[in-house]
Amino acid sequence: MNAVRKLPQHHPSEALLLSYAAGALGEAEALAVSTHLTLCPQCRRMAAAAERVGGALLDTAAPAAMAEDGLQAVLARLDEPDARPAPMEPRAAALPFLPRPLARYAEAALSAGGWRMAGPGVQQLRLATGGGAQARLLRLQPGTPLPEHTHRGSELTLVLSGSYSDELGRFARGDMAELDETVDHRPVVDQGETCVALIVTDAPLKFRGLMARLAQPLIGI
Amino acid sequence: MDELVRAIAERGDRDSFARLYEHYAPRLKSYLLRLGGADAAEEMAQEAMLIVWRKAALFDPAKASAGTWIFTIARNLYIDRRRKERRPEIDFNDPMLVNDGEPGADAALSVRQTEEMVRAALTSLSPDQARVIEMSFFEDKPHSTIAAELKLPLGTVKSRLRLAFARLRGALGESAGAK
Repeated sequence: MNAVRKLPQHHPSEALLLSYAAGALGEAEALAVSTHLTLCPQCRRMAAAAERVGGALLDTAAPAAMAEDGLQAVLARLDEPDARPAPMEPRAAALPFLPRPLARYAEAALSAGGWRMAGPGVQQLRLATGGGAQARLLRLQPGTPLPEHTHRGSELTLVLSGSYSDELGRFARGDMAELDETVDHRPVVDQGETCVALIVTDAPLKFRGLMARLAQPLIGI
Repeated sequence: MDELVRAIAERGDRDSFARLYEHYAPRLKSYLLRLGGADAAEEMAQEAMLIVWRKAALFDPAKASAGTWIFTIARNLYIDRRRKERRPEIDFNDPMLVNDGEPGADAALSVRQTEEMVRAALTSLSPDQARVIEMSFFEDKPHSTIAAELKLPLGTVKSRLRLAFARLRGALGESAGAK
């Protein structure tokens, strides 16, 4: 009875997966990548391979001398209770199709303020992530055309439901687009279904791409 | 090393922990120093080893070697402590997790074999490729910063990474496929 789930057709670059495995991505970018990985077994294998590179580099790293009493200090702490809180189980009742890493952030954002209009046919939900980049969910009505735009800095787009099409192809659930200033595209949401996508844009100063052009003439985010 | 982690998980074996510490703590410190841990590198290396002790039962030798597992612990600790950020991770119990039924490209080989191959492949990279791989993992810098420091276009850094990674993965995939 299990329907065969379609696998994503558009993937993050190797460089992005390596950065994720290395821990070099900011929280917003890492959120987009980990959500794609939940939906893409092929990229999960790649990310696991990249972590092995990290393990090999650690194993072959030149040792740096530890303090002489370092081991004794750690041994003395082994019986301390583990004070870290257990991670909360997410309840993404309002957005049941969101994979877990993302559902946690969406739940927090829904209770903090919820969806805001960002133009005709467009709503946005800002997610609270650390670091310079900004993560948000966009909910786009079927047929909504977005203005042609290029990107200053970089932009990651991950479709979670519905689909859109542009010069690069059709993007449906799990598909990720990695865009930069060299990409000039004119996405249009496909007919028939509302499209929900995670958009991660670079540092605020560079944030003059899709969202700005879309919203500035309308409400000025 | 895998056996040491299992001895900790199964029996809370302190001798095994001490041996694991002797090997990994100085390497963790070295890794954390390069990431930019500075004065906190020693303390974070100790903290990482404490997490190894506490989470030893979660270690799955069928998925990764002890070294890779410990690397991910230290990486996440660094993100938490120094960058004050959370690390979004895959939840393998997520009902949304999509599988394709295919085993890993390296399923024919043991974790130990694949990790040895990665290590061998690392030493076969060109100096340029090895440099960008090492900077990616050990310097907590975005590729744009690495490009600026090496005075290279960002595209060149990304293509070196792509070639290096293809080589590292090729060491796994091709040998698994050929034999």
